Amino acid sequence: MISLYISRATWLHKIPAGAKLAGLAVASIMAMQAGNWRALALACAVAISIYLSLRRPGLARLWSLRILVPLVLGIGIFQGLVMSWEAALLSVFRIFLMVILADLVTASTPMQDMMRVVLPLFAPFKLIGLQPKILALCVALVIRFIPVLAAQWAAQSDAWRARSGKRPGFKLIIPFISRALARTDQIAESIAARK
Amino acid sequence: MQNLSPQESKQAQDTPATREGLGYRDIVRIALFAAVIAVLGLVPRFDLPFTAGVPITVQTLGVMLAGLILGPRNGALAVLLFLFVVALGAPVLAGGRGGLGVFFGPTVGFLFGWVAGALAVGFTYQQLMRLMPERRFIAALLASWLGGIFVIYLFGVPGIALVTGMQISKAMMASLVFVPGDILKSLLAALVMARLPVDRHGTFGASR
Repeated sequence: MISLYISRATWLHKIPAGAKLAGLAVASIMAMQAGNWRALALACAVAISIYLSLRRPGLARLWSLRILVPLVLGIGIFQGLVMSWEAALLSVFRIFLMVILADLVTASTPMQDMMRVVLPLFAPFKLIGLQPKILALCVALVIRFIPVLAAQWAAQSDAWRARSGKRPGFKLIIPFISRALARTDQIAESIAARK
Repeated sequence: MQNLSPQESKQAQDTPATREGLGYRDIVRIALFAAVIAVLGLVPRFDLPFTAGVPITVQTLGVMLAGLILGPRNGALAVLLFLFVVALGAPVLAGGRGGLGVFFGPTVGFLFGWVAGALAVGFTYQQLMRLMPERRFIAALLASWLGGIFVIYLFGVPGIALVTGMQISKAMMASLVFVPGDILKSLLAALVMARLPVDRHGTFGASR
């Protein structure tokens, strides 16, 4: 499946996932406390230079974040008009900084490493009977189901088009859900049988 | 697994995998709905004239249906699992967004609102169905309005205010543009519930 992870190793990949997540947590607390937009703008510049230091994949990644721009600008303009431009700059830089920093962690950490760091945090849930193993199974199932369901949607919309000659409307959701639910029962039987 | 008798198959599916009583059937349905929410994010968006170009995605339809079809507990767990997969880095939010970044963006309140929303939709629907068992469409519509719209905004609007430093009233004004789309999605969710085949055990879309 497509992922947001950059597969080519960079220096950021060598830092352990736990350290990156801890750094992100500290950065988010500091960004929430910051009251000066110039400091946040400087931090943004630092974050962008980290992207640049990852060379081409980093640049491509930064470019893909452009979908954020209209949303953040919209918030900034709205806020500038109803509050003050000072506050608008503060929140625009804060949002931008936190999103690109968090995205750096996602881009440089494989999903398995992320799971390995996160799963021990779920250990307390053993007390109420939820095993971290079950969570891992669920994540694996979701990741497997997504392409299967996407293919099922495509096949059902092809069938719709073949029968009616028209583009499928949102009515397609009904057979889509119904077929998907039927499938789960078979999969549940298979898992139970293998246990 | 075609050669299990219906009784054996029922037993196998209901074998609890955890002590709190989630059977394999529950686990697979939770995972499946998390994936349904993801796939609905990939379905091409449609732009409505009256939202002035603000894209409408059908992802919250998945959240409403999770609560309606799986019930409050499993529905909320499905949304939670979906968010967990997003946090791990899967680009499955509408528009190909995902990763830890979204949890620092202005829409974070809506994401957590989805969990509470699925819970509220499922709970309300079950209560209403007890009152009026024959009115699936109306029950699903009311449950989607309460849980799928009101509860989600109850979390989403303060989320915007918290991240951007806007006042709650301003944040509410800014998010009102999405309400027409949400009303349309609640109608769709209710339509799905009214049309979905129900088998003799009262579960939806069973395989046999």
